[in-house]
Amino acid sequence: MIEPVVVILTGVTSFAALWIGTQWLRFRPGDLATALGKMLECLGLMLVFFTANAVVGLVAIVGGRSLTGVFVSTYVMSDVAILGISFLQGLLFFCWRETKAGRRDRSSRASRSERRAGQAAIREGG
Amino acid sequence: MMRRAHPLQLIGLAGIGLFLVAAFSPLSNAVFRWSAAASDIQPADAIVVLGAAVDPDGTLSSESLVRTVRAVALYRTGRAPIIVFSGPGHEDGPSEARVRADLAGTLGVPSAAIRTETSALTTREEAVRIGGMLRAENVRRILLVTDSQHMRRAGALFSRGGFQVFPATADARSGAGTSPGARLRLLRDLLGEWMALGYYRVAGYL
Repeated sequence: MIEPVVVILTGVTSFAALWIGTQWLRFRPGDLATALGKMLECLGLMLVFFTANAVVGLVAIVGGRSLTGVFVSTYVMSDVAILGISFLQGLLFFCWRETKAGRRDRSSRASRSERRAGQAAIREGG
Repeated sequence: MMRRAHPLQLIGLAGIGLFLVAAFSPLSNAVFRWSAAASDIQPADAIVVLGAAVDPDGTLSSESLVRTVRAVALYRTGRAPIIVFSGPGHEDGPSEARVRADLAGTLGVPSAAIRTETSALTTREEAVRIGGMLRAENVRRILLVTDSQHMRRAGALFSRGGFQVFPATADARSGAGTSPGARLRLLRDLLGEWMALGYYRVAGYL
């Protein structure tokens, strides 16, 4: 009985977000596919961080046990906090990458407009 | 022309697919039931109850409590004359084995029938230390109490130690999770146990 509740609840809020985005915020529906691609990239990064944390954690625990004799249970790696922090790491890294891409776009737009202004000045002078 | 997907997008898509299948399909339950060990209750020389977890204030985890109650029920129905409770504690709290022994005493198990092992930190250490303790008492046949996923690894370790092992499974979670969250927890437990099983095989413990 929980599944229909989850599906209906998330379906309603998704449609509400779609309506608010298109009607109030003037988002273009065509950009949704691009946004979906970016969401998948972000999620992929989160999973890469989660896998890296799991592998590094297990190697450190098992290696630490044999090298130092200090016991840490491998069960700590199944703590849900590691999943949450991995997702935050992935999200931050994704936003960082997007910031760099945005700056690159802005600077290329700026240099294009400078070029155009220069050409216009030459034409006027000629 | 279709744009090629970024590798991260494919990883993300796989993650969403796995999440949806694990949370909203009966797959986790089916795999849990498929890989669960079955109980085989026979008369034995001792009941061995493997550790799970205890909080520093002495509160037993659900897993620990379920195993303890299962062992007491086996004892009270005359399956074996001795119970061994395993489980260390935190620095500033009682050991899990001690808390379980006290609970068993409250439930009518005489203290003369109870043994405790409070220093073993892993399943392998439990098999070695409890094995040594029981061999000194000429115990050969044991009823092993742990959860149905852990049983394969734990049973193999005690069998290697020369014991005839009869599984007595005690699960805090059933293989019939009815909510997406319950099915995701089942899958997490399964993956954890499979990784441990793989590690024990690679390390040559099994």
